[in-house]
Amino acid sequence: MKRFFVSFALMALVIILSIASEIYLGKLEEKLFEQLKSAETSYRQGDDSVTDELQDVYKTWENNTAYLSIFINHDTLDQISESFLRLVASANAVESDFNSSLYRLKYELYDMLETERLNWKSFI
Amino acid sequence: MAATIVRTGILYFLLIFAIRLMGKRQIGDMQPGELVITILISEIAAVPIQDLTQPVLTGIIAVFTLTFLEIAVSVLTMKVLPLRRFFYGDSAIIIKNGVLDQKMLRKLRVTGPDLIEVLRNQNIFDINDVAYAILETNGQLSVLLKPEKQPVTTETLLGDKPNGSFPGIVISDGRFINETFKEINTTQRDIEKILKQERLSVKNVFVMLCDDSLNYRIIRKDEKH
Repeated sequence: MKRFFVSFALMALVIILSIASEIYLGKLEEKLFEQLKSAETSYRQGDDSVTDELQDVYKTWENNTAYLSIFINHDTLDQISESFLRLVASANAVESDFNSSLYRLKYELYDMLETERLNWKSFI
Repeated sequence: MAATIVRTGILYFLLIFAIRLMGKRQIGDMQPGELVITILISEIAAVPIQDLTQPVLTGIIAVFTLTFLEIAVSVLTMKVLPLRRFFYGDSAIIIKNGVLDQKMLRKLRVTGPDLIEVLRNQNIFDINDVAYAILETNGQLSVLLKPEKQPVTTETLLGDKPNGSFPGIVISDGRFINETFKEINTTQRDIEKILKQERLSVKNVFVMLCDDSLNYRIIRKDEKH
């Protein structure tokens, strides 16, 4: 029974970490999408602050990648980082594909977060 | 490269820890569940070693989960007999007093030649010599020869009759094993009478073995032998 309790304790720890990760991801998602929405609004209004706002979003993302790399596939993180940089570049471009870059980034973030979420879609 | 070395080290020690934690329950060959776990754990542990984009934590979590499941299932199957049957199956008597149970062989998908070969591997060349042959859950065949075919022992030289009866498990961990009564041509009432003689309740019995002549052996719970 000692072995059972040790394995149960480890399993409980794993579950607690999973729940904690889900809460953390939820908060990160909220913050990132809020910042992206603000940047999108600035872009549509032709505001010059759009580049700074996008840099802030990217900084938020970069500050969290170290922790995210513990449980998210590194290729996924690299892809999203690339999309962020593409989005920042497109905000300054003359012929801009800002919209497609933005939606692509949003989709990739959403997809990453959905994969980690505790729901039937990720289970199957 | 350094990452591969470190990951390999982490997962190596993790696997050792997991295998030690699971312990070795089965005496002899592995049960199906143990085989599944062994294969799964090794495959899962290899993924973060080979693919550096996979977080090590996913391998660690998977190994811990499998370890917990294996231990939890083993604890549950100790307590709940139908679950034990579901995960590990039942032993099956396929030869009784020299007679093949062909229906059981078909059910187990064992052919006659397979059986004869296994008997030959145990130096048994005539089915008629066999009192009981039991196919265990780990795939091994246990054979009890008829008394007249058993090797001579000191006891038989001194006049004791060799045992040709199959001792079935009638009580395990305080519960009657009803399926065994039919095999040894006895009933729960007979066993209860024995327990009454021994002034025991079924809940105090860890294991009770009994054959068709009602020769029995009782191991009480917490009895040290």
